[in-house]
Amino acid sequence: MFAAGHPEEVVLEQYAMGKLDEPAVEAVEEHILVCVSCQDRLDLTETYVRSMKSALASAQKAEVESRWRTRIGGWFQMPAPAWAGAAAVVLLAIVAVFNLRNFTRSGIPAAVVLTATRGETASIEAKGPLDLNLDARDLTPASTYRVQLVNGEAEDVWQQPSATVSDGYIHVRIGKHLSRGQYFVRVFASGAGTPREYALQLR
Amino acid sequence: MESERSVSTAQSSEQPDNLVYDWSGMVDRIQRNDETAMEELYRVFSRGIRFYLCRQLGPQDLDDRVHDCFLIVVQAIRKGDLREPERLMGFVRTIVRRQIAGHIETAVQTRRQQVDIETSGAIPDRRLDPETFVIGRQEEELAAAVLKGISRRDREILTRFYLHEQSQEQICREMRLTETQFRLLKSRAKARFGELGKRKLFRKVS
Ligand SMILES: [Zn+2]
Repeated sequence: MFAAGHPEEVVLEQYAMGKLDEPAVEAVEEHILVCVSCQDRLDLTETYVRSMKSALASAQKAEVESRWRTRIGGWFQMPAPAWAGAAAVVLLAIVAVFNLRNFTRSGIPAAVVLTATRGETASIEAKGPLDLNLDARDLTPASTYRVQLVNGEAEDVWQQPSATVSDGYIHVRIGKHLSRGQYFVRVFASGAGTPREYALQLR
Repeated sequence: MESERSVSTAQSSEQPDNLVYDWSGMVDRIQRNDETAMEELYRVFSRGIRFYLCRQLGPQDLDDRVHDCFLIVVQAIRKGDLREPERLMGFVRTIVRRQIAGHIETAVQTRRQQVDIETSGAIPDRRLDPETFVIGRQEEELAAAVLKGISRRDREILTRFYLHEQSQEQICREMRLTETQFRLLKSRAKARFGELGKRKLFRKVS
């Protein structure tokens, strides 16, 4: 895990991406607390992961849009009945891709849409992975957000250091098993101290 | 950087060997009100504490927050609350984490109260300052430049890893890659990012 006294590059990256388990997090954080060069390395790694994520998301979005433009361009060159048929096929394809995406991952995730705490709490059964769609309206603009899940006692349960907004929502998947109880999902824009909070009840 | 710090005796398996301090000695000296030990404690930890607080809470009130952490650590040491002096780093980390959790809790409570008072519409968050926003844009452009210079297949590998957060094992299996090929691709892309960043910085300076 450590090489020549400092966390290896891959370990720092796992830390930046929230993929290290607790004992390793502890070792890395204690080291970073006293090692200035690793503070700089972590800064660079986080910047890299964040920027790469945004650039890849933009590239993917641009690719999808360009594919659509090509297809739509093609439709208008077709006779009308063929155009309608093609639209139906594409619509079915979208549904199929959406379903496929959900089945290729482990287990069938429970999807839940959360809006910022306003007295109401989303309630969902505690089983399997959770697909959270966090309403990102009025969030501080940032290229990525840190999403943290805390339990009713405000203890860290899970986190995703760099999530992005897509179509007005921050989408995150929590793969770990969560026991029943009250949870809060907190979203932090980089550099902004006040988080946005969403309430979630697992029953 | 390490040379100006005191060197120690104790060494644990997970501790890097070139950054090992005599934590017990430092704790002992702080308990005896040794001013130089306090200065040393501050020198060793201040940047790290600042680093964590800034990452989690942002730059506002940073000096005060660092100072608060120090006060808590020093008072705890003096009161003898630190049972294992050789675990001073872990203790400082715990204090910093508690402080962060406390500040977040306060911020959340304040927001909840604001939300209760609000009748409609979301509460606008503090906007990112334009400079930070521009820097973020520039960094994304650097990453985009890295992506432009690699093959479609390499881009897919990075997409799977950074965007879809697939595991290294899954990517290597599905894309028929060895672990070394995977690591090489990632480290080359990161090195290119650093290189482009330095060039950009150099152009700005010159
Ligand atoms: Zn280090």
